[in-house]
Amino acid sequence: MASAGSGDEKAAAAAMITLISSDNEKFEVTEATATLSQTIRHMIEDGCTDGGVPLPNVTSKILARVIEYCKKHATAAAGEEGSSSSFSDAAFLEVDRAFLEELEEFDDAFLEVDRATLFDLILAANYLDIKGLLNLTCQKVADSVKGKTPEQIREMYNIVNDLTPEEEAEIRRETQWAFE
Amino acid sequence: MWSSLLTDLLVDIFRRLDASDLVRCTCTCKPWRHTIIGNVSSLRLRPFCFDPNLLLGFFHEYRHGGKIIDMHLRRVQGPFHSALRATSNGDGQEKLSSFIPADSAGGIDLSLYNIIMSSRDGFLLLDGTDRDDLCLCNPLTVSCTFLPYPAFIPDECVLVTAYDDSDGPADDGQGVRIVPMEGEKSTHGFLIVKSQLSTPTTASTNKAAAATWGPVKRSLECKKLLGSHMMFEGAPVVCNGAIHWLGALIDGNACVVAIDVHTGRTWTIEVPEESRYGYRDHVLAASRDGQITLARQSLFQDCTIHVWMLIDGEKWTLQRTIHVPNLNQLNQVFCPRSGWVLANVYCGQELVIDIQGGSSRPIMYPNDKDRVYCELHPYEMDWSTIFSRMKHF
Repeated sequence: MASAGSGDEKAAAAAMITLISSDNEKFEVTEATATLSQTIRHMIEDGCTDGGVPLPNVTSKILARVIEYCKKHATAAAGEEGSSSSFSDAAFLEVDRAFLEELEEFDDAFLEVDRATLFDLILAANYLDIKGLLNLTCQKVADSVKGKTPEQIREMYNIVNDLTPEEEAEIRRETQWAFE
Repeated sequence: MWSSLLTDLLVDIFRRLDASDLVRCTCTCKPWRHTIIGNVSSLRLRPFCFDPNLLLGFFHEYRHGGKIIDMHLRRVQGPFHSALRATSNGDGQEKLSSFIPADSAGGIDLSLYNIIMSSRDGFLLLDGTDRDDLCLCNPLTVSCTFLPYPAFIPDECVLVTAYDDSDGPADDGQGVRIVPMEGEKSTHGFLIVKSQLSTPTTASTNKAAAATWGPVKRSLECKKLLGSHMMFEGAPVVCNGAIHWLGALIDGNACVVAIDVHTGRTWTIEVPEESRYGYRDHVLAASRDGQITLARQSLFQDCTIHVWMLIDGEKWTLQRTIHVPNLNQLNQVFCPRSGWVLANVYCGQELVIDIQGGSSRPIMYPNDKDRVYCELHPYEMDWSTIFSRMKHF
């Protein structure tokens, strides 16, 4: 954006959206970043984003992370569009591949959060309807559960065991094959 | 917090897990347990990996003088033995009517349907010598539905379930499609296969809407001249969205014929060069990761089975050699969800063999002196049934 001409700057400025977190913090983002959220996209389409978009379900801490994700992926989406419309020779594909790898690394690093943040990210991704982020966070939880015992899962996710010892014993007896 | 996550979000997480991980999740807390049991149809409980326990037994069709005179289930012991309940009929034989009594089948005696056309994921597709319709039933859920014949008299009918689709079960979960097929000989000796796909049907309730048949598809001619006397041998194997048969050519050689379930495209796959000679019985199977596999028994009396796998749809590689002491005969039966093939050994015993792992397990049967000619159909359980049967607590 910095290198863009004054006309473009104007257009970019016009396409800025203000997001307001539950604790009243304001975030200025481009429309391209904001519309990764289907929820916000619909609001923009309905023309009700003047004066900012209040997001009463998302704290500033989480919103900052979500915006970080959207910014990165909005650039990725723009890059994809650019490359498909122009010629795609080997050098171009190489750039694409490098960018995808970078995006994957970004996603991996992005998921290095504690369980509480992960939980809030899932809720925010669901509320804001950001498919990529929801997919990423749900997969993270699923991967962390794979191969774990019920005790390990409970400990990992602070789950209170509300099954009685008798019930638990019965489950284990009937599904012993899953515990071997 | 995590235990009270929105149901839709929990389901989104759980649908990424396999059956044994899910079972352990049902043992963490009640909200997770209820979510899993209550949303079985949305979870991808597809048998992507073999589980030997899924095999409940084999339906035996006894023939005499070309007619089927009897059919009943012979069980294989396992942890899910109690999942299939039979009402006692006095003689100790578990016939279809003892799993689905007439009052659960709209007053129709299921023993009239004595020909098993296909068996998959708990479902059986049945035909009857004196019937003018087909019966799709599920002894596990005690349900059945009747449907008219397709537009032609099929040589084969194959069940394809929602698990066979790469995207996993659709929202209705229990979708079952029937692919009837007719083999024909054209004047040029090409094999032409006619197929007609049915719409997904479900036999989960008695009032289920019966399947309607789609348009008849005539396949493109097979690339290879198959000769005019091709015979299908053994049961078809569904894998990677296609139905595969082992065919015997007039010169005694074998060939695999495949038909794409969605497009009706047909093609042939030559069997591995090295497996053409010096072998007798062969069985078509699939590997854990969905590759077509061929097991052949050596002609020499060395009790070995050679297993080939088709890599990338074109190159056969010899995967392993399994030694089975006293091996008599390899049966042309492959159990698609448990991964077993069936063999019998001298001394009358039957074995199930894991052709990928090489292990085997005997299945004890009482001596059967009256066995005239018998065809076996594996009967396997599906994960959805296991999960939906779990207690909520």
